[in-house]
Amino acid sequence: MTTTEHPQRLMAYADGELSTVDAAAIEEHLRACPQCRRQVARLRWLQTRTIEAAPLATGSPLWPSVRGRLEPSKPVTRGYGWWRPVGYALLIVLGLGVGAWAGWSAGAGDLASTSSDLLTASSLFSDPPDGVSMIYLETMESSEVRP
Amino acid sequence: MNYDGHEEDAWMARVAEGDESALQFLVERWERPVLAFLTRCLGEREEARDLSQETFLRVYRNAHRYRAQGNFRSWLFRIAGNLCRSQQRRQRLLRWLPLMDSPGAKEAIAPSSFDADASTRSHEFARALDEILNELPLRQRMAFLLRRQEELSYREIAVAMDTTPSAVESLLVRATSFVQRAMKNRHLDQAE
Repeated sequence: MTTTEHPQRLMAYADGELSTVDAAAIEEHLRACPQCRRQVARLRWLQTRTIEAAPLATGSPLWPSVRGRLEPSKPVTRGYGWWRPVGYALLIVLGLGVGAWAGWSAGAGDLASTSSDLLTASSLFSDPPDGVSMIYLETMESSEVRP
Repeated sequence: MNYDGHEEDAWMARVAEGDESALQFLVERWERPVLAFLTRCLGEREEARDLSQETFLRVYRNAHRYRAQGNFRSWLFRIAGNLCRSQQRRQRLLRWLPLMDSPGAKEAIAPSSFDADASTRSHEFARALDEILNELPLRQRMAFLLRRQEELSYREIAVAMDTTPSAVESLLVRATSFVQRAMKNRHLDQAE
């Protein structure tokens, strides 16, 4: 084995990613191979230097800025999603109900205004003939019965 | 840092219930690694700071999605990595806009440990590392930083980068060989 043939195995060994058995096999090889020993040393050196060279956390701590931005992004709690479709369904039923009621009210209002028109017409006669009173009464009765 | 993912799981359970003090604990514990990772990923300190804030906000917003399996570190860096990728895409797009100011020379990112005797060499190494990492494709750069700077295992990196441990190994071999060659060219490879 050489560093160019098996760079992955050497790197995994230097990174402590090999099983005990595989690590033992690499160690045996390293005892006889100065080139691979050097490569493992280089890898470990690079690891140490990179950690040392990690950028400093300069500036103020992050928490106050994060805290200041929390309000608009409250965490979503789990398990309360089921009521949404039920709520929407109830709203639709309620909307249809209100619509039907409003429609019915408008219809009844039309009949009431017809009745009041007739009443006004009948009041034009100081002594209305019986026929007019009869028509008026019939209209009133029919408006009470009709939905 | 002695890392025990299961301890973080307990804190995350509290964050999911809306406990801000638990989030504060996690921000204070993890801000340095996240900031260091994003700074080297982006090569830009201010952007890294903004994205670090965004990372923790996303931790808070998505706490209910976190599965308590001791994978907090991978999950956290996955969020940070995704933000870094999006930011890079935005930057690439902005470069096409003719009216944008061209970015000036970047300030060297100061390393975290300054030994009085070795400070110049440390600074030189840090500056060289910035330049070398900047030449790497983003995925290799991320794998390199997660392993060499943040000391995540291959499995953790695989979770963080949504790939397999063997793909991580191959990314690491390419990135590490590239960095080693570039350091040697600059006479900064001193391990014998």
